Amino acid sequence: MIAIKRYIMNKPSALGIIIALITCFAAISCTKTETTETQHSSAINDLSTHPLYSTYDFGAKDNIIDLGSQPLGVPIGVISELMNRDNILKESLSTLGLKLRSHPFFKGGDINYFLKNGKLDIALAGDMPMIAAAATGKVIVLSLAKQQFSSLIARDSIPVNELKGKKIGNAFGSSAHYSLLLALASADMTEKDVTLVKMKVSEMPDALANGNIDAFVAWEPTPTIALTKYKDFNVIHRSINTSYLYVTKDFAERHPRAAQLIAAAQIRAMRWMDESEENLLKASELQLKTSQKFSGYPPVLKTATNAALIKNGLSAITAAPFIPEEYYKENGRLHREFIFIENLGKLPEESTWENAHRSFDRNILIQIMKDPAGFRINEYDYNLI
Amino acid sequence: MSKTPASGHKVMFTHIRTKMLVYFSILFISTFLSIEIINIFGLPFTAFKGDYAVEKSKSFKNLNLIADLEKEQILKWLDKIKTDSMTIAESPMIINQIKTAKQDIKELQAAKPEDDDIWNEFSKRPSYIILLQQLAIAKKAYKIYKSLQIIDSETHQILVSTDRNELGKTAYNDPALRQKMKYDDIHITPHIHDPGQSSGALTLDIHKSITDNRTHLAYLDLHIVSEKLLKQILLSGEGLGVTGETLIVDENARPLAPLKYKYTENRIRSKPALLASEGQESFMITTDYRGIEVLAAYRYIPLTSSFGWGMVVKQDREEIMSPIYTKIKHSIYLTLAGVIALAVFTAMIARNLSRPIVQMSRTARAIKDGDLSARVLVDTGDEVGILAETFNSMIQQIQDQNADLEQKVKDRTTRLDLANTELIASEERFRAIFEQAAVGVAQIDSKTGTYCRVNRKYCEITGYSPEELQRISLAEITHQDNIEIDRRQMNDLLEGRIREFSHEKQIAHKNSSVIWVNVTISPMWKAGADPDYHIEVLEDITAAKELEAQLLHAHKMEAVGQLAGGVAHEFNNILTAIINNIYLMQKKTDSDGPISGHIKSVMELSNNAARIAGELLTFSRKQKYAFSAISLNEIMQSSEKMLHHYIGADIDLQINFSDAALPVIADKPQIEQAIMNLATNARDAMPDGGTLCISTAQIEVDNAFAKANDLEKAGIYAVLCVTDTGKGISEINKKKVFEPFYTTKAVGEGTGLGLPIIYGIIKQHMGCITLKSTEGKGTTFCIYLPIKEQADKEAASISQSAQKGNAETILLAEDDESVRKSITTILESYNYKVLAASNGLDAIKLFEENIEDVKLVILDIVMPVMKGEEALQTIQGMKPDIHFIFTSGYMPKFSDKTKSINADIPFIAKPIIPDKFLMMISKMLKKQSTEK
Repeated sequence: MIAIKRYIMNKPSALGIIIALITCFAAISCTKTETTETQHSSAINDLSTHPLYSTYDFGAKDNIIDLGSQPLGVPIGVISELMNRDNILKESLSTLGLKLRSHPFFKGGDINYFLKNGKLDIALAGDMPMIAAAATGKVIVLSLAKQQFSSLIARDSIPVNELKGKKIGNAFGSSAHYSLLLALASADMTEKDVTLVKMKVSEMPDALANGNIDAFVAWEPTPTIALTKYKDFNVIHRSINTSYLYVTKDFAERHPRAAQLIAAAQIRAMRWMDESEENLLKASELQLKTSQKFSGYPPVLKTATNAALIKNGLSAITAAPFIPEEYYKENGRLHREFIFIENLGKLPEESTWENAHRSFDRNILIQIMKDPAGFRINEYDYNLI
Repeated sequence: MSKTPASGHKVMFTHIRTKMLVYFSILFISTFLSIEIINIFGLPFTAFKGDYAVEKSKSFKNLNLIADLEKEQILKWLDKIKTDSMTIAESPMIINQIKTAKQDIKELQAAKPEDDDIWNEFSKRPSYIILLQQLAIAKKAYKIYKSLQIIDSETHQILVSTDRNELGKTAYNDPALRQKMKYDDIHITPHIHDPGQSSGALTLDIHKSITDNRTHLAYLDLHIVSEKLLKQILLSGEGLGVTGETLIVDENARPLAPLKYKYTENRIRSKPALLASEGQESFMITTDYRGIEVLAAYRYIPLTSSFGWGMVVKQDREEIMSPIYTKIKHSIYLTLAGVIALAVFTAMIARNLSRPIVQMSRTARAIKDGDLSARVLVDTGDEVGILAETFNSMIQQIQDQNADLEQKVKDRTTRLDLANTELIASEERFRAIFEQAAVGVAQIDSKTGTYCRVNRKYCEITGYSPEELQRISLAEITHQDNIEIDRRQMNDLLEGRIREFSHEKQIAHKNSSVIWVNVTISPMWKAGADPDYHIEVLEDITAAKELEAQLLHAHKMEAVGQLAGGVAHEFNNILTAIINNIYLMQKKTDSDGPISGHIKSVMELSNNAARIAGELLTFSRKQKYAFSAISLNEIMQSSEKMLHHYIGADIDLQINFSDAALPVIADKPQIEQAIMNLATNARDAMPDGGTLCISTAQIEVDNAFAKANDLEKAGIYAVLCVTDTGKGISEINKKKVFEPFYTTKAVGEGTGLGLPIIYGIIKQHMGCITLKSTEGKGTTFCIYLPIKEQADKEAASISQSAQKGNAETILLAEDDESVRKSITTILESYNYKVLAASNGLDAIKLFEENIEDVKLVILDIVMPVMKGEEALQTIQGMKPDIHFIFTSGYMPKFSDKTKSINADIPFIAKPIIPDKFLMMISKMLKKQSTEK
């Protein structure tokens, strides 16, 4: 080593070559990253060529109701799982000559893509994609499907202010991203005080364990998976994020009854899981299987743990999943999230808060809650096989 | 502690022990402190966290744990409440009884629509009683509810309540609450804690829907005021130390339970409370509602989808970190103690380790001070011992060499001392020569021309001190007329063309006067070498120059006198012949005749001419004087009256006589004439009046004065000074005033012979005349005459008287024929027989032929072939007793050999006055006959 050093110091040309090589490698790395980002952007921009999504058989016929779901999400993944197995829904829709077809997606943004181009009719997604869709004025948000925490995980139990200058894994533009901003704000910091590292939520726990990042922010079940896998990880901040059931305006206008039946199926599923621990565990089990099939990876969480997450996400909304008016009032939670996404430049030009505000419709739920018997929200018939 | 080494810089900690002590102390302290600091604060850029961070992390973990536990407890408690409410609300009996109760109410209202007191009636109905009993049982069983109520879902009237006073009242006056309860199965309404309330507890209302087959019948309200568990959670502070606290706020950060510390506001404005109420969970170091720094963990407790509670678990930072602070304090104390202990041990170690080195240092110092016998007493077997042994042997070698060297030095010193003594003596000799030289000697820098060294005489000549001379150059004091020649000759010297040069030049004395010096410059560098210094020998020749000038003037005057004398002599010869012939003519002419007058005129004119010739002779000092011993004061006194009369009334005449007698040998008339001439000149110099002072004095004249003024010798002189306050004489005229015929007066006002005549008179008196004058102020002439004792050797003049002869034979030797003939005629007319010769040789022949007959020999002193002096000697040799008379146109200067002899021979000056001549002859013949 000493000889090499001496050689390099005595040979300026050698030193220059080494510096040039290092520069090239760095440039290549950046290019590769950019390429990856470009590919990712391409993926967002043109999901029709997505290797998985492009295989989906979206209902070209009018009698198919295409539901975009997120099997990996908790608890919306289990809600969609139960809806798929809901015989009462199936029967009710069949009387209308309709049929539900569920399409799994990795994230809500992907769902919005197909929602926008008419491939999907219904979406179960997080608050960020919901706001993005609602701001176009082309969807109706029916109900609250989750109220759960997004978590900021670090290796050590340190206050948020000690993340200054550190690298934080982040799913850009997601509700977790918004949660990160809240966390930084609580410590009088902004994004400029940290280094955000764009990455998929599934990659975050290992990246933190390997030291590639100093912390990450994600929605469930990723934080729970991380804490389960790596015992020394610590949650250093959490904040509420929500998920919603929303339909296209076109669908609601064409099939108002079907929209109601879909919403009722959500309520039914939530009440069924709330009715007993056994139901909850069963639902958890089914969801884990579906997620494994979708992701190709075995589930990290145990059924019970997953069930606890499900319960946690639904506990506040079990009775009736109304979207609290406080959420979408001026300067309410959803309004602040709208501003956040808008500032990120993630909203289409025609997006306005007024559109979003007008998208929230409690009437469908009110109608359902007024006629629980008619919508059979307290009856359960699930295909659990 | 510090010393100043040869470089002059002060150095701290020069002692090895001190150095060891300081360095080791620094090392230990820094190491110990570093370890302590790292131990407490961790190592940056590494995974090692110090106790402080660990303690903080542990504290946060503890707080988080407590917060999570308490949150879980609260959630469980809420779940329990929900469960309790569900249990009651879903009881079939309760449901049935509610249905019956509602029916009873309807019946009563239908029967008595205007009666407000139907509730009294209702309270007697079994449905009410049963429901009341059930509620009472539940209250008793659960123990946490202050009151339980059943409220009609349609009318919102209280159907049953454990608080009887509430029966029939309307509940849920808040429309928003009614709306929420419409769709929420369970709703919880907390009561905000009044900050003014010092006591109290968390107050909650639980609202549970009671349904029958999905039909909404009523609400079950459970009113909780205080509950042991919550109280325990909120107020116990378990695990939170003394300062710890748990507080619960609503979605607007309003406290829902009493606070541990006094707080008067309605809203908790601390960050954790605000964030928790917004639905965030985390932990931080912040200030609480007291403004005190705390560690806080905050949690969100969701009650419904739209709102929840915020919970903050906090503890004062000081209390949490006190163990660390204590540890830091202990570390400091420990460090200080360690430093002291370290210092002591290090000092001991340093002392032990440094002892041999110190000893070696002391030995080295002793050696440095001159004690070569000093040795290092170190016998350790280690490297220091080896060093000491080597040091000792080295010192021994040095000592031996030193002794040898000292001996050699001693020998050489002895030789050097001798040489030095000789050198000093030589140097002193040369210094004495240099300093005592009678001439000025200077060493001059050849490049700059500045003085390096000068001797005393040089300073004396130039008037400058040695220090002053070192600040000037030779050229600065050289007269500008000499600078060029100096420069030229100096260049020749510097370039080796000449080896030395010498010339006379003028330099400026310090007192600004100009002096003459003779300068000789010679180089100090060897031939061919670069010029560095040269020697200047300076001789003051100012006096010599003045003397030269005076001598020149004297020679000039002498030459002029010679010329005047020569002219006078020739003139006198002619006049002698003229006067003699006129005399004879007068004798042979009738005095009353017609031509007698003409003859008389011619005689007067001839006499005038003779007088002028006499004056010239006087000037030329050829005139014969009648000297006699007389007092100068006497001469002055005899002239005084005439002077008063002569100079006029407008001039103040002051005469001062010396007390001394002032005896001189002088021709009184001549001196008087001199005085008169001087007085005349003084008068003429004061046409508008003034003061004329004449004084006499006796003065001793030194050799220099005598030499400068052409006096025969130094000695005592009588001096007469004539001082006027006239216009003075210019420098130019001073040099010429004694020249004959030089006058500043107009033509006819003076002959220009006055001062020359005085000059000649005084010279004849073996004296001198000096002149001092300042233009515009006056003039002083001083006549110096030797005092009589000195003048004893001067010959006095003897007068002669004339008689007719007795046919004596007189030998006359006169080279001038006319004079010879005229004298012969006169003598023969006075009955003398004359043998005439034309020169001294003829005179000798004639004398030899007539040796018996000749009675008197008259010799002209100046004759061709043989001078009268020589003829006299020969004739005197033939006949020693023969008498002689000299005659001449001017007084001759006899040689020293004959001077004493010839000084006794009577002399008669030409032109010869016959009467005087005849008287002298008669006298001489008489004397001779007497002697025989």
